Amino acid sequence: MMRHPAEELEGRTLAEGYVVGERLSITEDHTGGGFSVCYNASKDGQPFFVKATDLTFYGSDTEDLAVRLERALSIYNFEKLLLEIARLHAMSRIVNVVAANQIALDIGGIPIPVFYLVFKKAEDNLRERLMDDLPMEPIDRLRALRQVVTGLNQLHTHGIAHQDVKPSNVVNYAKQGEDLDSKITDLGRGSHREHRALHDSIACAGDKRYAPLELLYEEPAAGFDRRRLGADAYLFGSLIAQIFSGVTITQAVLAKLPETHQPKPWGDGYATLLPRLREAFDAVVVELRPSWPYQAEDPKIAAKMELTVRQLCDPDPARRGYPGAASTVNPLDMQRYISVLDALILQASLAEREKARRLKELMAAPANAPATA
Amino acid sequence: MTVTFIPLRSDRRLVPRWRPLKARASLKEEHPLSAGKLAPLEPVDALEMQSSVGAWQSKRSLPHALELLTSASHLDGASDLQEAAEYVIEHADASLAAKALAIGRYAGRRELGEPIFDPGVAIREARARLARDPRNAFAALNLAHAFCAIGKKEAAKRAVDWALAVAGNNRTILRGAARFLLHVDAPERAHRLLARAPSLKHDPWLLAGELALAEVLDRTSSHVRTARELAVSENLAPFHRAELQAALGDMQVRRGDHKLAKKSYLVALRDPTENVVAQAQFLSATGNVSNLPVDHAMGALREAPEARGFDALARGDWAEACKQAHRWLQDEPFSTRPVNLGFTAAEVGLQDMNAAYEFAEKGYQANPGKPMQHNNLAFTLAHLGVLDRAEAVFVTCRTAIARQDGEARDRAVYRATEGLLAFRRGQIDAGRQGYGDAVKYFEAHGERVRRAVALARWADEEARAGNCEEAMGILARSLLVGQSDERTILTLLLENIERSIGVQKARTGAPPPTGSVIVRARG
Repeated sequence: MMRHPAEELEGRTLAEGYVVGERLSITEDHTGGGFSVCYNASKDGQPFFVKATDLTFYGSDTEDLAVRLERALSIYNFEKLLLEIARLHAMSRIVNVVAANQIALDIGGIPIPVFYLVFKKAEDNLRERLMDDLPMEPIDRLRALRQVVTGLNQLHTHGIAHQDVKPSNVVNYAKQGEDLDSKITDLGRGSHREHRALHDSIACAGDKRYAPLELLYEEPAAGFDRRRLGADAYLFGSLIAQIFSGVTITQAVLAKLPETHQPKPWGDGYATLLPRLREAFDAVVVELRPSWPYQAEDPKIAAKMELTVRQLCDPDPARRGYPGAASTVNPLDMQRYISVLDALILQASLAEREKARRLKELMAAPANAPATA
Repeated sequence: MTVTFIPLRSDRRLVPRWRPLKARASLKEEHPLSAGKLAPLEPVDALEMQSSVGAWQSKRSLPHALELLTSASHLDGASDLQEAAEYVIEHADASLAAKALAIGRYAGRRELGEPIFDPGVAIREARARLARDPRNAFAALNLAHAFCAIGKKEAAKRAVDWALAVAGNNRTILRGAARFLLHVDAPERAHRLLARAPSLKHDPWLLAGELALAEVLDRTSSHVRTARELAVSENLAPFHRAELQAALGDMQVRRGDHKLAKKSYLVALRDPTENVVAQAQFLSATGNVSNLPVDHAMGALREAPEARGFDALARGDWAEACKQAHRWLQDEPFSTRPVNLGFTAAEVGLQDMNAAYEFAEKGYQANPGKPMQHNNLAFTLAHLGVLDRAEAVFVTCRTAIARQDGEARDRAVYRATEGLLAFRRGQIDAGRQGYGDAVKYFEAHGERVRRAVALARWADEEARAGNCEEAMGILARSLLVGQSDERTILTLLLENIERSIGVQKARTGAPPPTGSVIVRARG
């Protein structure tokens, strides 16, 4: 089988001095990316991460070379553009690119360019943390979510929709024992309000396993905000559910639908399906209730989290977001949800104190004291 | 005499069914008209999913199982998914949402026991759902359905309006709302609702309902041509077209074109709904369309309570008829037709007045203020000796008699029940007066069956009062009126009463009747 030039970078030194190391398996791929090969790299003893692509990943060999090159460049340049915008606006919660360049590899006597992006290597990602069942206190989960929604807000403020928010795209730069330092990575499926991407015509640009319901049924909402920023809102709401319960809203809702209403057999339009989806979504939100943290210490936290998920994951994309803002300001403004997370973190810290106090009291109580005392 | 079951189904239209909507179980009418598609995963996402499968295969843990369930749509049917679902269901640390997802993906595909419909529970659940999400149209429709089951039509109307306001273009909502409007005697509005639906011309289910409701109004739908085209459309699965074919068949029956109607029904019965089977059974029983493969079609359906209930009644399998009537009431608790079926099977067939009372009570609860349902309940209560409540329930019928409300033939039925109540209170003359008036009315208006039943019930009451000679005379009149070459519900009822009179005579010391009075009367 022919190897792609982008698969030949191991051991090479890039123009900026990054020494390309071992190729990563997909589970170690911290930026995702559809048609790219990922490597470890190092420079001055610091670990980095390289994402490389070339035109052979785009289209078949029989296709016109110029078209393939244009497509490869278009995709690479678009991601580079979004990363550049993120870097220029100092988006602290987006993984910034440290180098974006190309290297020509001689394949059979023909120099073929390989385009690459270099990022600072993360310690781990949220998916790995969940998969490895690493201990994460509820308050730390809330802090991570606060960092994610801040990242989304930074993107949205500058007209960028991420469209692929999922655990593997939330990376952590903090070492073990330190407070989480979460950032959003992989803008490869992103869209910009003013710059058109090749994948903009696809109903669902992101990972379909996590996709908002309307995209899974291939009926995106109209308009950039409702379609793309709304998708981000949904994905963030679903992430909240997943981080506390282990399940995504999309799969939980689908599991409540009859066989005939699953995306494959259903061809009667999203609007027709909506009453069923609302019913299923409501049942899912009720089932999520026991998963919310600090129920004994502060039940208001659970109520606020339920409301947040209900607003962010509304199956009707036209009604997603904060309902009170529907006719005045932007209901999908993530700033509101940053404030919600801030309040939740504050309440959670008080709840943690209460938990500690109760534990202390329990420890101090004599072992033979009557239960009713 | 007192009940409305004779004839049990004088007329039947193919109006839409209105059943409560349940999670994970779709009504046939909810099935999509066209197929959709599930776009495949992008290569990198597919790799991530494969790594999830690999991780699960190498290490069984809750996070790995949950991640596999996250890919459930794209792994549907995979054995790994089933194992992961089972693992989550069994795992003590799995969240409720995770277990529900696993059950939906695995256990949900198996047959689940169906909960018994309880209007109180249904109302509480639907209200809670609407409080959480006022745009939940299905909850609003379920609320209306449950309100109808306890006879709260105004509250049901508000809930139906709510459902229509939220999802007024949805087929299930529209059909349910139309059936509700028919239930509250607003067929004109029901028809208008479907006739004005934007998707009417492309939706065979809405067209079938529109055609049937037009027939209820004694009109011909203005969409017959479209209906004919859609009924033969190869783009639609046969079961989507079944009710439309049947609705066209009904229209042809009423125009006297029985040959064409049969053709329509033969097509409709290839992959029918239970409503179509029940209608075909009715048309066969009334002789409008003959030789329809009703039994075969009924056998192919998982649920067909109406058709199976009437089939059981015809076979004399009373217990099965009662069971199917109960099943039918689970779907349409507001309807008096399953009540009539169950009542007849219980009272005439099983001769179990307690069972009959249960059905009558349901009919009364769902239709308070409807004199005939009050009448039926008062009848059973009188027979069970609960005279005070029988009197209280019967007040509505007395008012109808006094004000001459409703149809005269119904008022004659109430007069007969008035006679029954008088007999049970020991007021023989008043009792005779009541039954006598009813019999006179039925005689004057040529209502043979009702007259025979009224006479038979009268005879029974005379015997209970110890007037066996009078009873025998009245029974003989009844048998003369009701004689038939066929064994019908009426002949069965007459036999029961004849037997009952025999028992009464034995109690009073008179010699029991020799041989069957029915046979003698026929002879």
